[in-house]
Amino acid sequence: RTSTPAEKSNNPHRPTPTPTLPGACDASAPPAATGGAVMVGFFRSGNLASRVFDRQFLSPRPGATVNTVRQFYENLVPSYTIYDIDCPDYSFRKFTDDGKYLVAFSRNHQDLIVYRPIWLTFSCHEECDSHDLPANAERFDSFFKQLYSISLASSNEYICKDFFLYMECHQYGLFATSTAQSNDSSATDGAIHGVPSIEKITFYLVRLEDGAILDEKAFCNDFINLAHSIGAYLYEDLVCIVSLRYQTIHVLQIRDSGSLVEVRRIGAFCREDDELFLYSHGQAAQGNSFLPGIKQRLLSYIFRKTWNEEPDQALRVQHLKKKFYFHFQDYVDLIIWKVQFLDRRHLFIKFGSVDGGVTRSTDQNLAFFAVYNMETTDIVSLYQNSSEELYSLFEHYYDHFHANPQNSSHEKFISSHSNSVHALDQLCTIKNKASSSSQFVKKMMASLPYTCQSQSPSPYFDLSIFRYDEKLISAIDRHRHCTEHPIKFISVRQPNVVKFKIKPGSDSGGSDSRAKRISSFLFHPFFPLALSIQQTYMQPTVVNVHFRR
Amino acid sequence: KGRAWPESSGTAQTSRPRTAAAAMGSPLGGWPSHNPQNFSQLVPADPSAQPTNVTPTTYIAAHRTDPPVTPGTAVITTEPRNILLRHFYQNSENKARPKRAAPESAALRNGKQARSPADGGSQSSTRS
Repeated sequence: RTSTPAEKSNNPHRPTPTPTLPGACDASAPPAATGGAVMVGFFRSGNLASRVFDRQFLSPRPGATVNTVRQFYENLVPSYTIYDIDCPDYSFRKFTDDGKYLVAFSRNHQDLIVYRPIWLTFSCHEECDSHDLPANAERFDSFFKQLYSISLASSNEYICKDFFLYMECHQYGLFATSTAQSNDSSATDGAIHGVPSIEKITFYLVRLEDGAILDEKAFCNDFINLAHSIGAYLYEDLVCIVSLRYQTIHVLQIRDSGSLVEVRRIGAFCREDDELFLYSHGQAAQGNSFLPGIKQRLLSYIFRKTWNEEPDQALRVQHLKKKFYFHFQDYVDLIIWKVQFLDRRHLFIKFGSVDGGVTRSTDQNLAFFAVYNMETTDIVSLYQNSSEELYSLFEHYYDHFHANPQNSSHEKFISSHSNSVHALDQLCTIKNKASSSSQFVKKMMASLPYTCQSQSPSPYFDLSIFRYDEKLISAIDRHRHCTEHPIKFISVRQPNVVKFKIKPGSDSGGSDSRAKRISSFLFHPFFPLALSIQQTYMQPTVVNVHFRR
Repeated sequence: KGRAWPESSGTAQTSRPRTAAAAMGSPLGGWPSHNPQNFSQLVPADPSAQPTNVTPTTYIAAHRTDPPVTPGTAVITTEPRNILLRHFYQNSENKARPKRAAPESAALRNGKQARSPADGGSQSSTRS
């Protein structure tokens, strides 16, 4: 028996009324009960068949088609689990956001393996029991078809398992390999103190359709934060890569043909002809007497703002001394930590002190956020990480921090506190419980700049449809400590009903609780299909497949 | 300069003219009319009503309603910048304008943005 859902919402091959719902056929849930999420009560009943009939003659409100259709995911849930499926020992990284590929790396960190997610497909000769899957169906390749395996890293290089960016329109994937990290953090010709050095970091652009390596770009004796793709950001066809060691932002363009072309380099110089100008005036030959271009922009912005604050000319100099000159060296010592695109021309840059630059803990250190216009090379505005003004923008317009016109429609519907009443409620609860307002603001600001493609667009994380424990599982793909109990996904519409459970680990559940266990979850962007991967120290990895039977 | 406003000769003299509709005893009485000649031919249904020279109040707009003289000044376009960027630009424009003899409290309030890293988060926020 094979079943192939062609499209996410057209799957009534067996319109089963969900049997566990006590109030499955209750008339439309009153919209008011959901506190303003009016779309939740669109369908008049929770029953799948009756929702399909409703869909024939009710039309959603303008602009809310996707939100309405997504409610079908309440009925189509990955409730069946195959535990500890027999699969190759690869480390599975991610489903691409268009759902076409599953990316994995070999254990020795040298090969890239790409699978195509197919729906459960198998054939069996003997009589199939309709309740249980036959044994030979419960295999990894019933769900995933291996497309190819290519070698990305050569002998002394390793693929960074955490780094992967996907360009959907051409199905290009960006990967990174690096040599071992050396602890030589001395400042050498342009490099700053305190940042380690890696002999070679290479970025590869791979066409995922067939595994062809289209282009590569190498950075030598540099340091780029590759963990969780933090050091790079993809926006349309532009990638910005932050070289922490040389304090430079490299902006590369991915051409349609697949070549990576550096279009801008911001750091020592801001405009393309700055270097030429300085050389032609003989200035650069005298050594590093100039501050880097981006630093000059930052300082001049702070200077002008401090200047404008004091209207009285007589007091102005004093004000400048206190606010600007006294802290001049602190401003000069700031370094770029992380960068993202706000649109094609604007970057959102986080500056901080050297100590916090390499690690990800940003709570204690002070930081500044700058909006930088690449074309005019101006800094548009600058905020400290405790700024209430920036927090207000964060609260209202968070989605615009990761808006990307070229992304698939799935990414536009990722729940956040700016588009979901429930998430905003949660945020306000934390805000009200926080002992110190500025500590709360700093904690929230630690999530900016946004980390590219860090959230899964799966509708099972949509907070208007499901509630789940965000400490155990969430749209952000991070490794989490494993829990004994299954993770419940509860319907928002009917708060007592658990729609499905995800249980990582083996069926028996009873494993050595002393061993440290980490789970990660990979959700397909639109199929009711998920992988939960549990890694235990010194034990083989357990992979479970959760899907809708 | 624009077109001439219609003359409303009646309103200057009469203190509070009763409209023709009010004279008819209609529940819609009291509505002003643009053209004073409207309803002038009407015969009140109630014969006992006094045939006064009713002049309806004339509606005169409080603003100029003619289209902009210069073509192209009322063109509607899509803002290319997204709202987040617009706010960034707006906030910086508000702060960049040099203050004109602003009171001391205002300068303090806006001075928070340029607080140095050395000050740290130890100072309480004076910002509203």
